Amino acid sequence: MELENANYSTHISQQFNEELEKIRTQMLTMGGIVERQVSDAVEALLNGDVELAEQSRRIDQQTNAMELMIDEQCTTTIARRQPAASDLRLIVSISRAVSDLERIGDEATRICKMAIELADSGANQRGFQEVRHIGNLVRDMVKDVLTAFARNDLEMAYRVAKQDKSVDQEYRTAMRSLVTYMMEDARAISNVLNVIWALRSLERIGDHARNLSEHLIYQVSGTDVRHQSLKQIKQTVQEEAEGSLQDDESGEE
Amino acid sequence: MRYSVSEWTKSGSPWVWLNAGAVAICVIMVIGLLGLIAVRGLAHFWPADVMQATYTQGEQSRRIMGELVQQEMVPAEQLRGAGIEVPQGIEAMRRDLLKVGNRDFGSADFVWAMDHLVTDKAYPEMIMAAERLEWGNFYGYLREIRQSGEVVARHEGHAKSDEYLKVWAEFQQRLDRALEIRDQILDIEKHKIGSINYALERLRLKERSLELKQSTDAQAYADIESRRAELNADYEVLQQDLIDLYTQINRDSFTAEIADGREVEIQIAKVVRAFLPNNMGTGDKLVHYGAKLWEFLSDEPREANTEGGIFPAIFGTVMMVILMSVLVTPFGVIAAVYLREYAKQGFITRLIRIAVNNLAGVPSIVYGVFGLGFFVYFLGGSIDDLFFPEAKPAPTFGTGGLMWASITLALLTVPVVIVATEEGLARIPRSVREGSLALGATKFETLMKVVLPMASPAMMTGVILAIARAAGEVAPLMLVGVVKLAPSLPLDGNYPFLHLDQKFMHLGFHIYDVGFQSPNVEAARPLVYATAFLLVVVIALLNFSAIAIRNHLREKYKALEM
Amino acid sequence: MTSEAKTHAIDISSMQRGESNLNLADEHITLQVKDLRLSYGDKEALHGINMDIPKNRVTAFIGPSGCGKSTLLRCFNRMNDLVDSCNITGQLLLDGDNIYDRTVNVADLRRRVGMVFQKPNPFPKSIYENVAYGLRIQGINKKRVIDETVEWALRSAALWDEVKDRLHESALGMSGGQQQRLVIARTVAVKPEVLLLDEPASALDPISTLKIEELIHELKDDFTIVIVTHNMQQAARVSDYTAFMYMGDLIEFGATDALFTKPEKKQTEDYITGRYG
Repeated sequence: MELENANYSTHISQQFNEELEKIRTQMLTMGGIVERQVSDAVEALLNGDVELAEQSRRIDQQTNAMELMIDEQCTTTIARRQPAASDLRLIVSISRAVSDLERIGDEATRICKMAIELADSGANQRGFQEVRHIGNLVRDMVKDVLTAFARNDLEMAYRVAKQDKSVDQEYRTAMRSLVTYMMEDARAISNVLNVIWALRSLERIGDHARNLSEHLIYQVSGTDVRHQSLKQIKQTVQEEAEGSLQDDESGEE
Repeated sequence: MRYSVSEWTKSGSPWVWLNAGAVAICVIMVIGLLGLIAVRGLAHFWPADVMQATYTQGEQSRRIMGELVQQEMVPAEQLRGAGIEVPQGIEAMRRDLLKVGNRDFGSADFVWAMDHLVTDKAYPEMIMAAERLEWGNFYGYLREIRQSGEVVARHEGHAKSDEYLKVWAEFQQRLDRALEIRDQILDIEKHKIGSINYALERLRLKERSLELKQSTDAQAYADIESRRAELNADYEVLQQDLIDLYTQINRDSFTAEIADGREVEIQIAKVVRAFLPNNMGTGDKLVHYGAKLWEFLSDEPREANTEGGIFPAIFGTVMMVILMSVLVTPFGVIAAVYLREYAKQGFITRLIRIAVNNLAGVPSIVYGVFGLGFFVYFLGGSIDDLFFPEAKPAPTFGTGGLMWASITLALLTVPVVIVATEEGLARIPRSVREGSLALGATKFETLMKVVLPMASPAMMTGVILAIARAAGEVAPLMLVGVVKLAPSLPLDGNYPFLHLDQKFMHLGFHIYDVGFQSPNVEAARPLVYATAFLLVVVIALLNFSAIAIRNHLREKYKALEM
Repeated sequence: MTSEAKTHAIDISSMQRGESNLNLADEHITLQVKDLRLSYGDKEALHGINMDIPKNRVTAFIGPSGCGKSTLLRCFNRMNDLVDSCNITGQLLLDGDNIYDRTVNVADLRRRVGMVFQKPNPFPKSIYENVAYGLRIQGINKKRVIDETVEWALRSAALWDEVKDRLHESALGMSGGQQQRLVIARTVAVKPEVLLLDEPASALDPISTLKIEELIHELKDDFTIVIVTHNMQQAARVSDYTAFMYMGDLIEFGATDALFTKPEKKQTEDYITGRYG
């Protein structure tokens, strides 16, 4: 139904509409920056591009500032408008989301740090294959969850949450092989550890992406799905889809 | 600075000026009215100097004595028409009105005299003025004092001298004695004999009613007879006392020289008050003024209402207004409560409301006619038939009286009370009623405990308006109970104390009577003003007390102003 | 080791607000509304309301002006009887008895179901007499009983300390908030079972409003409270259950916590978030 999409433009108070729209747009903008950070970080790591890594680290200060700004706007809106129901959930989920986005930014920065350290030892290290693979997965997750936010698309959010499972899977596999490699070649341990740190950050980014999708599900459906199994999340998403269908029908009466 | 007319009009100042002007004119007229009647009325009690002068009419000239009451300019034409010679070239002449008194020795007590013919004007200190029980004022020079025909003191001459003053003092002393005796006589006549007469009348009625019932109760008849004998014996005793007192009071007399030089003899008992106006200082005059004013307020009228006081009229007015308020308030309030609170607000209620409003506009004389026809003749007649057959053929309630007058005026003013009370009830906020109902009070309890107390200022407003209207009404009263002279008050010490069947006096009617029915118009005129002023004062007092009560209530229940 | 573990384990349920997780099914029901229809003349104002008002809870009615929430509230103590053209069908059960039964004495009913109105409406009497009014109506005249009840009621309304020195002064000299609390004390004094509040704070300043809300919170231990309010935040603050009404229909009725975070009906959502209905 249209409720989710046209959400912020139907208040009697035009001012309120604008405030909510602004917060949401800023969150999505921040998301775009963070998404770029992630892909740049992976790129820098894989290509040993120190310059790109430095650039990406500088961008992180921007995301930090944005987090503070958006959070403050959320606080102000709560204080001034006392939002209820969907508005309240929107504010709360955005407030949580920016915090997750900021953490994604932090993780991306850490990857950049690893990229700078690894750049000296030359490209095409051992484990870069896994980094590329997981990096692509995670980047897609971040991109998808932001798209889901933009469209209030629960199905998509659910797919992101599910994706996190396969990222975890890939991460464990990569760990196993890298540990094996370290045991084989002790000289490479410090480089491989750096790669593991980068992989770990990517895995964490995946977790944050899943958190983001959970916030979106809470925002739209009103059910808090944090710390719940995928099955439960799926059920919530389905119920919501059916509920909005029903609402559509009742609205047509 | 330029100022165009249209701008001035637009600014609204013309309106302000117009309104302020209208208010100013109204205020000036009201103040003028009050001022006129106050000055004319109150000045009457000031002891005027007595003038002695020579008045020449044609060849004759004579001495006149009297108070200068009024002077006016009369057009020459009018005087010529009246046969008075007026020299050519003079358009108007002054004419004096003199109060010469001595009605029993001359022809009229007021004399018009052309001012230019009055000469040798003087104000001798020793002219005495005496107010008497009858024949109006007396002016002259005191000559002798006689006791039982014997001359006790005598004095000749007109000038102020010790001798004259000694005789005057003697005269005053005897006057005081006579006044004291008259007080005793009045006490016996009015109160003691009055109550005996009243008791005898009641006995007669009792006997008559026994007869009407064809009672054969010999004991009852005997009781009445013995009681009557008792009363008659009392009466005999009092009668004897009275005869004694009359002998005493008539002991003294005095002689005086009047304007035309004759010496006349007058009973001291006939004198109410004697004084030497030209010899009085301002202090003396003030004391005299106070005494006269008090007499006016507290005494009964004398000499066809032209002298003495108007206490019975004041009392009657106040009594009637109070009775009217007591009657009109419950009726008006109950009617208003029904119309506003209980009646279904439909066509009939609206019709009744319109009728009530229109009743307020019916001319008051119509109420008088209705009161006479319905209350006095029909209701009163029936009451007499049922309850007072013994008094017949004399009517008891079948004639105008205090009760009928009060009821008629209550009927006249009940619309005002209804409208004001309804207005007040309508202004009680619904929330207060609901507050009471929500506590489990019934509608009646809510009305009695909350709504009516809160509406009481409005009811008082209604009563104030009713009083203002009723106190000034004269026309209907003339038909239903007001009389020219009713010295016995409707409230006295004889059972049942409040005599609702009695006729009474009323200030408004008194003004009409004194002003237009009096045999002595000149003497009565100042009294008309004085009485009118008093009527205004009485109404104002009644209103102010009602307003004070209302303001007190308003203060108490000021929730309405929220 | 085990004892240490115990001290570290925190009982989460004790950290939750006392009112949360309310469920209508677990409540004692004081008032039951069954298919209540009300019309003024031929205009129907309530179209068949069904709801249960739980005992010792605060139930709030919200909704736009003219939605019938005040009308419904006034049905509970038959205040609508005062309106001539008002016609009511359906049942309204107070502890199982239909209050619209012919045999019911309306005055008695109103003693059991007290009401406080939008504008403070103290009687133009002293503070003491205002509170004693309901008792005197019931025919209670013993001074001691009245004294005690007045004090108890004023204490219940958190007003005693403010007015104990001027009990015999006019109630009209009090501030608006004090007057409203006096009206509540007056209503409480007759010890009703149900307390109906018709926008009790809409004419008051914010601090007085908070005092009234605090009072409502304290009174719910002794009374079943139904409150009508225009102020959604107020309903959210004071009530345990909230009913949203719209155009004479009960749209949604449920626990306040749920209704204000996750309403089930779009109309409710639109209303409480301030959208076009």
